Amino acid sequence: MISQPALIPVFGHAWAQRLLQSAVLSGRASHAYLFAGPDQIGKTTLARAFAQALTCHSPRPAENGLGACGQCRSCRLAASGSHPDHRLIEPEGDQLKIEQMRDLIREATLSPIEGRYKIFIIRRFDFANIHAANALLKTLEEPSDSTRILLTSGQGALLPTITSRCQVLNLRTLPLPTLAAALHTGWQAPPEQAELLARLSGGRLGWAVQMLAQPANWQARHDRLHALLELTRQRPVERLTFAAGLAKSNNSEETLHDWLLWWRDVLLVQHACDHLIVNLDQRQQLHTLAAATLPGEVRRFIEALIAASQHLRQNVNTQLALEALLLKMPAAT
Amino acid sequence: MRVSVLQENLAKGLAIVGRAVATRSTLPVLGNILLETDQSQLKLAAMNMEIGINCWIGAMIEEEGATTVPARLLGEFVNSLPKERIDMTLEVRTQTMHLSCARYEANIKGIDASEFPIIPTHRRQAGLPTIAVSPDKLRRMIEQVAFAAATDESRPTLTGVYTRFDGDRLTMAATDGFRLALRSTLLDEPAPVALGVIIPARALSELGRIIAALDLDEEQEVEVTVTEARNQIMFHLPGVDLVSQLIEASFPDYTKIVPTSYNTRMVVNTAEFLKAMRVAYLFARDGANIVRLNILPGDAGRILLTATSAEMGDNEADVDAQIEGEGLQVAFNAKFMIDVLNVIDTPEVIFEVVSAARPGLFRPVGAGAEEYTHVIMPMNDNRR
Repeated sequence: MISQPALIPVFGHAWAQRLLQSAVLSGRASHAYLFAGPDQIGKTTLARAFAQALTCHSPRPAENGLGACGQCRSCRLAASGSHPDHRLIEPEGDQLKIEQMRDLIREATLSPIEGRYKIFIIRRFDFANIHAANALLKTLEEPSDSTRILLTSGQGALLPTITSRCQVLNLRTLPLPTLAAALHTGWQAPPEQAELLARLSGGRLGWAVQMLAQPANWQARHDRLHALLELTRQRPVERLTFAAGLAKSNNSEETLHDWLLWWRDVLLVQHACDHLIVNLDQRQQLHTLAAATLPGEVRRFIEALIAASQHLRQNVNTQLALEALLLKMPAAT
Repeated sequence: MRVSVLQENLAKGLAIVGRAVATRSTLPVLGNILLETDQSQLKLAAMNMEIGINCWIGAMIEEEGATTVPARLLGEFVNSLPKERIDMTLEVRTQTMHLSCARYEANIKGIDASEFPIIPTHRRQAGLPTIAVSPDKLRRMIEQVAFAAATDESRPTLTGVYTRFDGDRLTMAATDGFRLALRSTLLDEPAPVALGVIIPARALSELGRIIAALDLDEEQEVEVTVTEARNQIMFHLPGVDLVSQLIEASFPDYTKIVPTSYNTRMVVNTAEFLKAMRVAYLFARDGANIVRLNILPGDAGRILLTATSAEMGDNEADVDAQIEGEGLQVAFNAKFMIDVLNVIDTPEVIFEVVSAARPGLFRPVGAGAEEYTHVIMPMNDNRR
């Protein structure tokens, strides 16, 4: 049975792909790598693809990708997530715990089952508690010859003792064209939707894919924008009621994020920078609102939005913060 | 796949491979047992991260094929069936195994066999040098050594048994940092290659159990092979292969721990010593397992064993011994003493000590080439 090559697709991060591919082909992969960067930009995907290439039976140079053949048994198992020598370790709840590290340390002393390498991918190492991180130090510094450890981490600070033991790859968000193309080719999104998603995601492919997979998310976004437009026309009392409602729901963070993108667009339209806007599908509403508000007002509200988001992360009274924010929102006159 | 087997055979095979099924694993397929037609037999296989077991049972093969089915369900279902013929048919498209036996029928959903890790088999390893060991001898060695390996996972290297084939000598060593078991034997035929590997103690214990369960003849042998990539060791028995992953680390140099001299040497009746130790343990287990030995040399030499429990009371027993050297007081962990006396199968045991702060050494008397040395660290007895 000959079928499509089972490659784990990686989009963007071209320099990292080249670097990792040469490590695969030369057979001189470092014992530990750290994939650092913002959420949902494909760090784990890159790590998985690297693991696939490392255990591939016949890696070969390729224009794109990391050199895995995608045909051999090992590549197929890796792609379906059932390779016996690949282990994906994720935070349990909101922490990586020391028990998980102990299991890993023990397994890391055993020889690989099928291939040359035994590969551990630990997601979100910034979520490791201090005991877990310290427990891993010795293994991370000197794993057995056949063990490779791949860590991913958000932008949270890692212990210097961890980073100094790994080859660090600082990944960035993907450029717009790469993202839009990836959504179009990899997930069959229509070009228009791909473009919109690419802009909305802020360069995070994972976020865009999640959005694409769940139509409910689209509806939620639509509802939030609709509510926002309503608010610009409403009186202070109604705004306060809305703030109370929003404070009780637990999606105030997402809402503020949407608002921020929205008002940024309004500001851009006011300055005749239409081509840079994110909410491509809302062009008309943006223009209406841009005409009805003053740029200074909008700029001040954006500053307030940023401040409010930050305050909310620092445990202020949610309702008070949202009320204060909403009263500052420009009104469409 | 269409196969018929006898319930007894299948149940026995499942019991053997069932020990290797992963109980908690990130890979669902490792919770399954692989069923695969192999020439005129049915191969059963299971594996976890440490060991894999292949077992072949007699079967009527009507159509070749392979699949994996959940181990627990299959095992419990087969055990509940009457001792009759079981017909198994696999529907490939849905990976559902249909079983029928007497008045029972079942459909068990499985996972495609191609997802199951490849466990090396004896046949595939043909051509690699093998070392033959008598099963009984191997089982004895495992019994005498494996228990001394660490169970504490924080020192993974010590959870293994260092196994060395060198010329006509096979040596096994295990230590948990407080005791060391060292056993060596002569092979009937020299090993074709010198080899030193660390095998997880759990894998060896499993091997010991399988050897016991198979009830082999005297002439049959266990063939030991290390796979080409040197990452697995295989024990081939008639109808069963056990494959173990190896621990990739260097084993500590244990030769330095074995005392080379002694100040006091005792020869004691093993059974009597064990019995007195067991009694002392009743009192010692409450605290830190401390049993104090007061060694009293003389014409009628004896060892006085005392154990005290702060809350429950105390105990004293004495054991006759031929003592050479000076008298001494020393404390040991009663549990460790029982462990070693339990596996010494000669009527008398040599027990050597240097001082209260140095390790004690145990050796069977008259075991010939079956050399066994056991070293235990003494306990700090500050109440004296």
